[in-house]
Amino acid sequence: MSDAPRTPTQGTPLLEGDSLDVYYGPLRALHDVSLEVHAGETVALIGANGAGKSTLLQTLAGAKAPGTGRVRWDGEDITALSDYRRVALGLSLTPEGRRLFKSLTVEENLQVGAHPDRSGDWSIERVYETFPLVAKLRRRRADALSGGEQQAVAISRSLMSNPRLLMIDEVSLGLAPVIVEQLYDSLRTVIAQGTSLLLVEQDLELAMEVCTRLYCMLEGRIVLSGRPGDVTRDEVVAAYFGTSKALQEKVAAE
Amino acid sequence: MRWLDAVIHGILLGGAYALFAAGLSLMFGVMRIVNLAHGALAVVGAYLCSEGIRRLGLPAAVAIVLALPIMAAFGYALQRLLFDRTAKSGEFATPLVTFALSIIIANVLLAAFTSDVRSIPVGDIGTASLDITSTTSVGWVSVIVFVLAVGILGGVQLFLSRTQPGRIIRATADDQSTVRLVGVNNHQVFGAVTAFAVLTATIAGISTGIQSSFDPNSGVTLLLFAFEAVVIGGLGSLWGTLVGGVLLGVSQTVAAEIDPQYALLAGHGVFLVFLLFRPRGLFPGTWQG
Repeated sequence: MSDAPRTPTQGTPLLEGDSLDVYYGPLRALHDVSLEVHAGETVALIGANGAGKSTLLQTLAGAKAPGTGRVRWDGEDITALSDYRRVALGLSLTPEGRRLFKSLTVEENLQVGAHPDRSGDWSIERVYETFPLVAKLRRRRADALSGGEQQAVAISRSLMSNPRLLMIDEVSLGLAPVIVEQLYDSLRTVIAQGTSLLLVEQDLELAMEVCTRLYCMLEGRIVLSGRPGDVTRDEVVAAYFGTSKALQEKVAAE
Repeated sequence: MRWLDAVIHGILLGGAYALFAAGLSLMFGVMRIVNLAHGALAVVGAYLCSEGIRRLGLPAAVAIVLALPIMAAFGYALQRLLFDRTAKSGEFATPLVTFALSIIIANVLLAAFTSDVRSIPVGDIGTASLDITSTTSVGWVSVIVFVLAVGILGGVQLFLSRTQPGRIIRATADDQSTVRLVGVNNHQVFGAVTAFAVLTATIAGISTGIQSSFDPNSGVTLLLFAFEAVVIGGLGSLWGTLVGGVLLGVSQTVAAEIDPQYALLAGHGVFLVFLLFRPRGLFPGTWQG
């Protein structure tokens, strides 16, 4: 982390991953990963396949327990808190692969997404306004949707719990450009609402355009972080592919 | 007239089978658990009720009403303490554990209450009958059980399709790890489903005890009928289970009219025909109503 430019951010972060090590059996998926998201930020997490982005989101959401390190919410240690209890705090994950409830209709998926402890601005009507695509599909069964439609419904389902922080794994992966554009239009509305976002996005252009801060991961480590204006596209590309000499030496040294 | 008689009795009998089968179907649908102890648990419920009347001198109605929440709580504990753990050890662990449980239960009952056949005395209503025509009459208890079965199965189907807890149960059946990401503790859902399954099994067990008799090993026969009703009706549809139970009941009573020794055989025969030609049952569904 020493050579990555630390961006000064004010106050207690909303969500903080502190020195996380995560293992799958003997395999180490995350190496001493630290990440912060402050209220109102849109943070992008960038990295190649297998870099550990999904593992990191799963760990922050509580679906995966870290070997060492802490997860904090508003300064409070929630490392031991179950995933389903974190939803009640206002932390929501739209998982990779969308994972809709297949035998339920779109509207039923949204209804299940609502949480009794989390009232707020988001309602089914609001979701339909923000995601016109979803409104058209309300009576459709979730297993009869295209990938883009599934993603829109999955994000909507997360919003139904009125999260303070929404984490979306692979926003645009495998989706048609038209759909991606629509999704990001809707996400801009979500951001304007004051919801903080942590996005995993493969599309560098999109990620750098929408985010206020970004982290790049390589082989289970965070190798670059900063504001889009402070890091160049070349630095991000180098971090993505691990082509920078300094980075290679750093990884090799550990 | 005696054929009509047999059909009417078969339909009423089928209601009891369906009531018993509903819990089996629900547990499989939500947790993918084949609960081979379902029959034994129904018998435990019947013994609990019988003991309440014999030892504590409770009125039958009180004993029945008390047995239901006790058995439901037992079901919840069974899920959280036993089935949740065995589910982690692979898909074959749970059927084996439930099979073992059924044997343990039968033997504990045998040791505690001997192999004497029992029935649950409920006074006059137990023998009161309702005349449908001048020659056909049916027992009040079997009518009550049938109405209860239709009400419970219909109620559950409506509950699953129309209410928020019902949607959460169906979502859990679809994907038990993803419901956690929308703030639902899947294990609590599992516990509630098993509690309800054991509750309905208890109602069915007690009604068997009122209408005929039971002993520590009665669970095996009950379980077989329930399985047959579920397979005939189609997994995942509770209305299907009701139709399956009725088909099974009618085939038994009609065959018994020809010769009493054919009753069970005919029921198994209908089941085997379905298994051969329509293995997914009459109404394979996913609780969508």
